[in-house]
Amino acid sequence: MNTHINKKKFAPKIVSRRMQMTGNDFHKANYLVDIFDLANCASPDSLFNTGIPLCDLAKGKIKAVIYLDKGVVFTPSDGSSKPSFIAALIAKTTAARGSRAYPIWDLLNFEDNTGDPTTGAIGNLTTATIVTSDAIPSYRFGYNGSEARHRKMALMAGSSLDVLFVDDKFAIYGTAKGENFGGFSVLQAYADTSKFIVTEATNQYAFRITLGSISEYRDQSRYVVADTGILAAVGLINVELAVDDHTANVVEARLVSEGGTDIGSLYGAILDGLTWTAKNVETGASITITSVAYAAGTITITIDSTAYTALNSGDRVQINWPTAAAMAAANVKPFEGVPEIITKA
Amino acid sequence: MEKTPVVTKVDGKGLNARHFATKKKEEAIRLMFSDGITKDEKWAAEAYEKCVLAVKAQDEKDAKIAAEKQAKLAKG
Repeated sequence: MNTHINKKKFAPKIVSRRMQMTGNDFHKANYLVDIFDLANCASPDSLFNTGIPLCDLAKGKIKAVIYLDKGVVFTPSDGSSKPSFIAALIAKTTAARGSRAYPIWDLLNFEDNTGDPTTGAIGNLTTATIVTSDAIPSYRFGYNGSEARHRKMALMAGSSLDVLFVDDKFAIYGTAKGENFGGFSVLQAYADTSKFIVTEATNQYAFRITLGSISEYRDQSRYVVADTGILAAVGLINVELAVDDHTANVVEARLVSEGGTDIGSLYGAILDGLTWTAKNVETGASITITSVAYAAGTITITIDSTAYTALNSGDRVQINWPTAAAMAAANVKPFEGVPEIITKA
Repeated sequence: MEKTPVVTKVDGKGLNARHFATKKKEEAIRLMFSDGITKDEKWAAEAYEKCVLAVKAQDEKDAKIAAEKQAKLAKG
């Protein structure tokens, strides 16, 4: 048999030759490369096996949920060691919006609402049924919540998120995203309404997650075994400027966290050494903040008087805190400043 | 490429050092007055000098980092 065959031109003949092969021809079959009409029955590429791996992991009790902005991943470089993975995770908690991780650690209750796969009959001559569609993982988590926090948590419903799960052995479960390690796609993240306690307080503050893909969860799952170091990856608390006075280009305010706790005495003298920015809300143009000074409970923010004077009456200026990452680097953590808008009289 | 913002603290006040250091001394002092940061000319002059030094130090640091990055890329 001629081994130099133009496979494109002679493909039909190659197939028919295979069908006519005798015992003497089978040893030459290794030059045939097409997969037409080949079912997967004896595929050498199959990984199916039933042996117990020498080293493996079984899921423990759920300990935390870590949301990721959709598409956020950990690269092979991040996964080169436990410390580098943990450092990458911590860095992502203060990253810019769109690149951030949002850990939720204080879980109190876990319910698996996944349900069974859908099964269907295969014919009226048998009672056998088969799985016709997979059950998609769906969970409810009760957590150690509170009103203001739950209000923030409810915003998960409008966010585009992936999710990682952490168990009590600090194994983090996610999925393969190419060469990277990422979160499971979230089909729905939903915060239940908070409850008044009656006979018990289970799920007083709770949220639900429904995943978007069984394939990510079952067939492409991956995990990272970390350690207690990841407890340092925490979610951010919103902090705001409570403006007490705004005269011309000078704004005087208190530094308060959500709920009204004044953080000025702890962090004011650090925050006035970081970079604050401002912009003209009407045009988007940046406006220079020339000075920030904290003293005696008040932070004084001075806007460039020339730029301020040039504004029209009624124009709004948005004052931005230093970034979460800059604040964390200066040990002002775990906070994110909420922009404050002032209006020129 | 946008330059790194620089804040320098002078007597508890965080000054936007790059904003003032990019101006001539007299102009910077005038701006500190008009912004209401200080009414003390001597203070303003000293603050200006500190801003200039802080910006210079940051720019040198940034240049060094950029050069190291460039050298790494060239090595491949």
